[in-house]
Amino acid sequence: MTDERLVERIQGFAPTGVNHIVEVAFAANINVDVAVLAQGGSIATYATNAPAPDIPFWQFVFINARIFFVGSDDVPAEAKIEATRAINQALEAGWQGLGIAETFPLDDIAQAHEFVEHPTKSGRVIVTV
Amino acid sequence: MDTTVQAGQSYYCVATAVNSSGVESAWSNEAQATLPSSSQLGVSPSSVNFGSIIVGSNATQIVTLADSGTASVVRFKPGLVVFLPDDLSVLGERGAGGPLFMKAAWYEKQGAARDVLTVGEMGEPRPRTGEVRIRVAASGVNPGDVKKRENAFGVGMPYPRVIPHSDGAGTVDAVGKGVSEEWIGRRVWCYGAQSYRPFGTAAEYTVVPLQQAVPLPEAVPAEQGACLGIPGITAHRAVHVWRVRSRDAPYWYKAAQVRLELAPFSSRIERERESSPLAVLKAIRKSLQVRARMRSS
Repeated sequence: MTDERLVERIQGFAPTGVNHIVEVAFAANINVDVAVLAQGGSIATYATNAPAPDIPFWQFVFINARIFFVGSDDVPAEAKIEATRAINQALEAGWQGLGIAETFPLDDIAQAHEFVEHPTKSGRVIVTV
Repeated sequence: MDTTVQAGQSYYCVATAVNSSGVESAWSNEAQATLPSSSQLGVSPSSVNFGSIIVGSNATQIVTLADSGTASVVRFKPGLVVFLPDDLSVLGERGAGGPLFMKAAWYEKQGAARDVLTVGEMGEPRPRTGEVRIRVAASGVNPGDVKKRENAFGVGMPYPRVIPHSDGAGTVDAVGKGVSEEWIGRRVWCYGAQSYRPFGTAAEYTVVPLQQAVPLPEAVPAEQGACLGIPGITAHRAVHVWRVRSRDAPYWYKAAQVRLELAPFSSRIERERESSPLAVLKAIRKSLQVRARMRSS
């Protein structure tokens, strides 16, 4: 799907713009994000395909956008605890959790790391001990 | 426990603190121990390469004896040192408080997975004050763990040895001071085991502060519990972070604390405010120095 087509489709769902975007590929999607973001909207991003991307500065200025960077290690401790409570609530309500792509024994930890580097299917990677 | 040692072979040494009554402490990683000289050890003649070690998370060092001899349990203040040969089958006993050794995966330099990851046995970790030890059943591999191992961020090795992976799940089997023993036997999932700490979840045992161990609902398998930490916290934060207002930011708290700390000197700072920014800075620095002196005295 081209960026233009993607923007059109998102605008179809959200005609007044998107208020908040959770972005896993910051550099790749930045132009789509700014095109669909609502006035005063925000982006929270935790990963990028390119470490030093160009950003469409003025477009972000015109919509008074806010960009949040999320590094899980350094999320404030209270926010982590809040997250764990929400996760456990979801589990207790029957959420099945995340999909597991592959499980490796501890002896094969190097293969587990290589799978994360070059995944052949999506999902989490687990090492059993 | 006595065991014969062979020249040229590697041995682990495990140090455990003893209290003034000579009782081995469960909280060994709070003590610092210096290894004894070879004459104290009774390994003769020998040139054991001893150094100073921190007991606990860094308790395990591998030393090579230059000469054969007999190593025995050596008690010295404030610690206890046990020499154990590589081959665990010759061990007559293991520590009363559980196995001294655990199976673990680790790296001591960064690079490609196959080049740097080692699976072997090393000293088990012990929980310190406020911590729990988890018998790990499943360990979650996240892209961040892989990037740390690759040195993708160029920060180098934060510790001489790293057991990777921050997320995991298992059963609490030991607790540190200040943690209720009711936690022992509880299934938990954990996060941050290798975040600002060297030894993560790719091992039989891992130790985390209690607040990083979260009860795992009964119906949820350990493998699923090991998926929750980084992915779950990142997802939750990424969805809710837009609600954070600047006045909630930690720097504001810090600023407020500083103001509080400086309160007794605020009139002086206020006076200086009328002169110049530099004078204000000097006044703040002066106040901090005074406070530091007050604390140390």
